[in-house]
Amino acid sequence: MVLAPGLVLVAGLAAGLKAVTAGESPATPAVETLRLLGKQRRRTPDDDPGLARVGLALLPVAAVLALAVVPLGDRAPVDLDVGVVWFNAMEVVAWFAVWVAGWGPNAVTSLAGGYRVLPLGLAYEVPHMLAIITPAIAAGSLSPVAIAAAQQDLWYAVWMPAAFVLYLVSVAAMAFWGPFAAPLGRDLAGGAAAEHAGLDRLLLLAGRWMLLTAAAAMAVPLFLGGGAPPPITGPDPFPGLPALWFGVKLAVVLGLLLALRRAVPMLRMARFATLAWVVLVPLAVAQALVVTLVVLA
Amino acid sequence: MTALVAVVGALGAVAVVTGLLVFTVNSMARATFLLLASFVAVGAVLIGFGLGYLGTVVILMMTIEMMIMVVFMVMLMMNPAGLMPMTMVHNRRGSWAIALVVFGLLTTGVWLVPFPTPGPAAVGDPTLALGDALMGGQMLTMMTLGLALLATIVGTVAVAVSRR
Amino acid sequence: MVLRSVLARRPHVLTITPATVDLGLRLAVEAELARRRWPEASAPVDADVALVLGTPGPRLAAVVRSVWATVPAPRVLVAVPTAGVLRSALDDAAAGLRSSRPRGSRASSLSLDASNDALLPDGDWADHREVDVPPEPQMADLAFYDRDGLALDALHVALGPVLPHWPAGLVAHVTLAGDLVTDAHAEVLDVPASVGPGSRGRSPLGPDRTRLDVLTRVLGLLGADHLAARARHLRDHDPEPGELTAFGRRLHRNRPVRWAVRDVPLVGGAVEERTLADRVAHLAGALGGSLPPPVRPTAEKAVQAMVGLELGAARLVLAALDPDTTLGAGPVAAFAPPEVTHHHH
Repeated sequence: MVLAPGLVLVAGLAAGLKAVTAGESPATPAVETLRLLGKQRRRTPDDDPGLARVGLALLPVAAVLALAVVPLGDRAPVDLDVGVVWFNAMEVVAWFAVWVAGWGPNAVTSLAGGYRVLPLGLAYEVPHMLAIITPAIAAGSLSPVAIAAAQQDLWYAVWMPAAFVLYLVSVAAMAFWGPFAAPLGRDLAGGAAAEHAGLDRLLLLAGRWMLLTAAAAMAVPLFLGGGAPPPITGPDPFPGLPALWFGVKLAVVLGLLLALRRAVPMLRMARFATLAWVVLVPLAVAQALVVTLVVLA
Repeated sequence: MTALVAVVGALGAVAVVTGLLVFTVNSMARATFLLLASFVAVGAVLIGFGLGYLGTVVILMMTIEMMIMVVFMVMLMMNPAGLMPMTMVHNRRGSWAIALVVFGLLTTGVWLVPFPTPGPAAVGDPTLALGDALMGGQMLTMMTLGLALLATIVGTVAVAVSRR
Repeated sequence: MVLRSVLARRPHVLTITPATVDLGLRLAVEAELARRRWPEASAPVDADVALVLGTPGPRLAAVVRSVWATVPAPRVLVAVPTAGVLRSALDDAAAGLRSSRPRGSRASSLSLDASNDALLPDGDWADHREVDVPPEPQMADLAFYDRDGLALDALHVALGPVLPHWPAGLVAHVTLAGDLVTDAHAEVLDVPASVGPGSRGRSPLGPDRTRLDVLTRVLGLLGADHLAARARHLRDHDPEPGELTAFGRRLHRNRPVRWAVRDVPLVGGAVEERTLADRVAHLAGALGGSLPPPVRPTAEKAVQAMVGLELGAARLVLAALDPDTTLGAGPVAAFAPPEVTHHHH
């Protein structure tokens, strides 16, 4: 029950960090939230507000459900034995959410923005699936808790760096963030958000931050050893505080994602689809193959 | 146990009702949503039966499948004013005939096939057991085929892009 | 009331610019908004303050009316006829957002002011829905031409003049198949189409500031916010030649930006460059040098270059070509909306 407010809080902190790096006040996310709460909602002619609002409400819900299987420390809120697959399923639900959010208003920029989720999703999904399956192969389990526990001697970020980098890229893509912001692109006047005001807009923009945070949180058990201290530090200086280590590692991953946004401008979907199929997919297959061979040997 | 049966039963009803509603709406987007809701309910029923992997994969694959269907909606019927009413039913008589015949066959099948009797409780990881039952001795063949298919896709894309 | 004072702290501003606006006014507004850290609204729906620069003609005034009708309350409409009243107009806008009943600006002395009250919301929002806003689509019909011989749907839609990083006063009447632009024609609101070449070297900004102005828009569309902010800062603050060449080199060395603008052709010979990447590289490379200013094509030529491109690429092309809309659309026939027919599958 504390999961949803917790995710909102951490996502808000991440948004505040982003505001600071952009030279704005750290209170900007709070100001923007209050601003959107105070704004009137709006409809467009011949729209389908019911369907659009299903999508808008689904986005934060999918983020919370995805986070539910992530061990926040040493235990997950819901310890699902197929947690990795569940996480993947919830993140795909977000595609649907953004697509109907763009479809609903019946306006051209919003619709084109919603459609951009499809090339984006189909381009990042295959490398992403391979990237999350690779640690599962190494640990011999689909449970994030077991995968984190299998990294006592060596973090998977070190042992399978290509999978880790691919995971980071796909985190940005699944939250249509930074280089992958095309579904909400400025060139489309805000894309899928172009016709949503007030609470509707807040759900879309906050849901995106929550999705980014939840996906970044999954990197900790999959690649960074979960709530355990780094293997090289020797005895744990904060014994019994796995949530602290989890928080530190989550902050690092979110920092990397903020740096990615600054370093790489928004990519056109045709560019990214080419990159994904010609470079990222073979790389992900090669990484999975190497890990599988080592595990089998 | 009774609660579980009630939840699974309710989800089954949701799956059937949303599945029927697909044919009553007049917008592709709503039909897609209802079909997806039906599939997700089926996935949840499977999870309720203790088949966590299978149920989750149904939700995952069906959502992606719906999204791929949307790609075709964009390609062939790009109708940005897509809320224009559009019937979801074609060839009414033919579809009725096919539906009734298939329903009859399946119903007969249900009563003719001997029902499995409850055996000993399953042991071990159901995901592992499922993989073994599906693939069994053909695992190597399937893996090789899968890689060959993927290599074909990647190769096709690479060639298409370099020719542009 | 707390919500309203929060709103006034960081209002999102939608700027509506006529083609004939004084360039100095546009730059002053952009600089003042950046100084106040008031973000640029991405769409009418995102706006708290609608800022109308200069003196809009009758066509743009109609657009202002329909755009204003789609801005969600609380909202303020402000006219800024000259740079002199800019600060007081923005202060008034903030005050208007803070007060319970938003009012128009006292700084404006235009006819808009009179219509302002009539535009204010006074009842149920549903009664105020406007249908003729330019970015709204009409019904789709079958494409007259399509590349693959499939009978695909096509959509006739007017893009602009109220879009982020969009040339002032320009409306592009485009036909879309999916997100692909299959046909496009330019119209410049309230400026008669003239016959003549583009403004080769006639920008009142001078060569380097013109380049920086174009780069600001291209980088803004690419979401490279810090680079766009740097370009705007250099444009607005009389930089040293050394700073300019340093920024040009920084852009040239930035591989992600180069990669993001690759593979987009510039067709139609509007400018001498053949690709978007070349255009951006030349704009950046010539900064601080002594080359003549970049060619700014006529609106019609620039809009024609969008044909065959995906919407996102088309937007980048239009921003990089930066048509000179003060000349009107260029030598074109008057725009006539195509016959729209409905069809069913």
